[in-house]
Amino acid sequence: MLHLRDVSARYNLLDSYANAVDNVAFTVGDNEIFGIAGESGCGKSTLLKVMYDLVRYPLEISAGKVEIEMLGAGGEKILIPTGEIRNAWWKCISYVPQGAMHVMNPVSKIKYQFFDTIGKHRKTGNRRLLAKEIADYLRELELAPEVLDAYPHQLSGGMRQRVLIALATFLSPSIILADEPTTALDVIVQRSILTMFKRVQRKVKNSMVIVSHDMGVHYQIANRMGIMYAGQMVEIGPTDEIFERPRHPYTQMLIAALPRIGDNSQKEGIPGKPPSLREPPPGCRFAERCLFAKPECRRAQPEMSIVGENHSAACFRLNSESAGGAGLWGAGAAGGKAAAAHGGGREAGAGREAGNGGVVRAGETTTAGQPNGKADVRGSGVPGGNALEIRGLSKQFRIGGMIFGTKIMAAEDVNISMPADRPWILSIVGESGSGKTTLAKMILKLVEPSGGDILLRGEPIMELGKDRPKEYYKRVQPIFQNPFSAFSPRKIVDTYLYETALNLDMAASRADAKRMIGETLNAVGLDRDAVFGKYPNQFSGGELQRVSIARALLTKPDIIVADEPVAMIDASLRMNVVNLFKQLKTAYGVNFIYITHDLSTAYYVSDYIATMYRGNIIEFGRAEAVLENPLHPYTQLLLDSIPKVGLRWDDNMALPDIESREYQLAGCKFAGRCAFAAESCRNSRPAMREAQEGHWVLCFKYS
Amino acid sequence: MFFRHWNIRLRVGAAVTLLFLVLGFAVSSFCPIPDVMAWGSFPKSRPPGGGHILGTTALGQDIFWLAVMSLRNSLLLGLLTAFLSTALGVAVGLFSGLRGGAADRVATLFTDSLIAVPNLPILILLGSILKGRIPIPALALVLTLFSWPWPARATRSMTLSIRESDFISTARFSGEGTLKIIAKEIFPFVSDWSVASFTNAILSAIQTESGLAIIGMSSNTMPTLGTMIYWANDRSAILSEQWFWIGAPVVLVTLLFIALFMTLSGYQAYATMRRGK
Repeated sequence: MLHLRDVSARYNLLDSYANAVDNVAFTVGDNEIFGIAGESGCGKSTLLKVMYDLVRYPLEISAGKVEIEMLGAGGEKILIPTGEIRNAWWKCISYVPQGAMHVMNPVSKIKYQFFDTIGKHRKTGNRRLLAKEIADYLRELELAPEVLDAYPHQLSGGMRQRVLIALATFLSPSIILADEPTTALDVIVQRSILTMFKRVQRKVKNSMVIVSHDMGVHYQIANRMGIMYAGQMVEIGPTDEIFERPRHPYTQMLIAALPRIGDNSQKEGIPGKPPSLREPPPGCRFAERCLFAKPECRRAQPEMSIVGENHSAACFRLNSESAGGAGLWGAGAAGGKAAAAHGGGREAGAGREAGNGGVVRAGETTTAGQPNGKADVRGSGVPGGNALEIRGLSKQFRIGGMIFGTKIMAAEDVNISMPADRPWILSIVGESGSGKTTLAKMILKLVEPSGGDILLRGEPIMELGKDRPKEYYKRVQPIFQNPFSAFSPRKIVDTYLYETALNLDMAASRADAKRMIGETLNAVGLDRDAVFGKYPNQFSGGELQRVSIARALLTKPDIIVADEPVAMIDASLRMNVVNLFKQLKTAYGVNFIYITHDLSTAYYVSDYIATMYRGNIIEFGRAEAVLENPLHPYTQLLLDSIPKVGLRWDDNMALPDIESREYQLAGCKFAGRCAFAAESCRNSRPAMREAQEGHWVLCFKYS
Repeated sequence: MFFRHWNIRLRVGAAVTLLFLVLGFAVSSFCPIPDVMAWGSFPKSRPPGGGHILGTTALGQDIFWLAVMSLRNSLLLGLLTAFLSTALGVAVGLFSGLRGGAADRVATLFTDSLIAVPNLPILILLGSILKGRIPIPALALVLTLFSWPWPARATRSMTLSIRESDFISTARFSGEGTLKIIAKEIFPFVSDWSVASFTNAILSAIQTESGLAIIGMSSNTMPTLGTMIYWANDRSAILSEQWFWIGAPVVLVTLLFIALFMTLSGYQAYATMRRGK
């Protein structure tokens, strides 16, 4: 067991302290997986470091301690406190760090990394016997023992992460800590890693602590979980309880904001941003963003109080009002509706209130409207009519030298045509390496295609870009994944807004530009005075992404290409950005290409979805059709692998091979991983077929 | 004050450098002697005192004013070379890095070839051809020829990494042209480094010139710290224990190097701190 006894930890910033962990107390029991959730910067990784006794300058423990409780050889209780925990590393407690890329020695084979670690804690004796033991253990975890002879860079990110888990669990420690073990991995890989965690835990019956910002991950694997906010635990309870009867307003809003496939209702992100950890407010830290904050919330901090079996939360409402059980809140989505109904002025910016209701409603009708038959994966040949038409687009990359290099088809014969009569949002989904970003970059002219054409209202973009670059920039605008890298850290953000307005002839004078920028900022829910004169690091990720969207909107473009626009943004703020796309689509008549690996937001926001696999579009159709009734086996696999809330995975299911890396040239590219692959799939390529009205698929099953 | 956040290295380095600049450019203009190089203007080999602050040389020159004029010329050479080579190098690096393609390949071929050419033998060759007649600006140009490729290479590599940033794309989609992108998006990231490179270039220019002068391959007509050491050495100043003659240029050149080096390393630490790292 692992006890946290009122632990506080802080970072010494020389002139002040950042109180990253504040008075956290809970116990992780034997034989359970404990999940810690919270947005970035809430102190969850720091808490994990404190648990692992990885406390070194500038981090320091200011109060309390962590204790590992174990049974000794004679059945007596042994307590290992903070300061001595590091002597028990690997044997009693081990740690799976974030980013397996950087924690392995790049010049040493995997097996020597096993030997080094194990040798420190156990008399290893015969190396060959040990190697065999390790190989057996890997086989037990369904890993090929061949990885032992590989160098880290020869393994994929998912494989490295699995090797690290194997290393961390080899000495059967009673406690395993994992920091965001699946962040930055594809959903299919994520699923296999999470399943591996569960299987290991079931076998060894130890305690695991998993930190993740993804509520779906917690739902899938955690038995109990804690929600952190601004360095404090605000709610602790069994996972089912937390998801079904969340008691703290923050948890309720987090769960209500989760997009789900099959659920079309309006979702709202949490307004505002977390308080600074340097000078936290005296009262409840969530008060600023809470819909129910009362004056007392801003004066004093609420204590943890028991609200159910093994379930506690820190909120004054739970103490003062004897609202029992579900009286306060319905479960999940109901909470979201209540939150949405509660007020119009929840957004930081004043300008949003006015347009909010009407615009959103309009957006919904579009989504639910009649299928538009013109969206197509063939050249539909409306001359000059289509907003976007992609014909036979391909892109080859060479990897390696002139002689031994291999070619990789990042895009191969991509055909899409999107209508111009009504604005749309097209999501392009797929795992990393599927070519979705390359496709976006080709539309943005940041990558030159190897073949094929991209036409905007009948005009090829290469010519448009060459002859009338301004006209091209006016029509197509990008939104980047990380808003903090989309603006120079050395310039105030308004310079970009003015440049866009003035360089592209959108405004005649600086005063005119200023008025225009103000209006556009209002449209994205920001206030001009709150934006002007600030450097990028003075915004939160969500706010800065809005500025980025406003800049793109200034030219009133035809198409905005957004490459993973919410991947770097906290879950609590993500829905605010995604909702904006829906509103702007109708308000500005702008079309969006939304590149993402997150199928649930894709379902929530888009009209059309294209699934990409290794450079090919393998399925295309209306969002509901593709995601509610996926036809291609790959889309089905993707959908099954999303850690969904409300539907647990079958842990015993055999996992599909995730590591087939060969790029078959003869047959269907997916054949190697496909459960339905027949001989013909391996020998010849399928062609795009319209399996249902407006629903296209690249698979022999439907020919 | 503006130097409130400067570290001790930067303060001392900047103060000593400033002192040298004053000595070289302000004090030298009060020089009472029309030609400090002229032999036999004064009694020979006098110790300090009697109108000569540091005494006179075995050639009958006033050591103090000779040293001041030498310092002036050396600084002038260093500043001129550093300015030309940094400006040219940074400009070429920015352009070739951002433009890429054929322009980049040609520029890289040029810079790399110049880096590969050993510069000292060529300088000695040039010196022996033009012996004694090469004026300071011309010498600065020759030194620039061999020193601009370094900043060009470094700037190019910085530009290559910055070029891939999303904010460069943002600027392009804001309708900014290549020149504006270089000036407003990339140069701010190179500017701190340029200051350091400039200081470093002063150092290496003075050093190269001194090296050339000591083996008698630099200008004969203008006194520099290097030529002063050359003559002192030539007339056995050490053996005849004329410490001020040989000592003045050696101490000046050493102090100048230390001061510039402290400024350089102090500035880098200061720039890092200012970036908040």
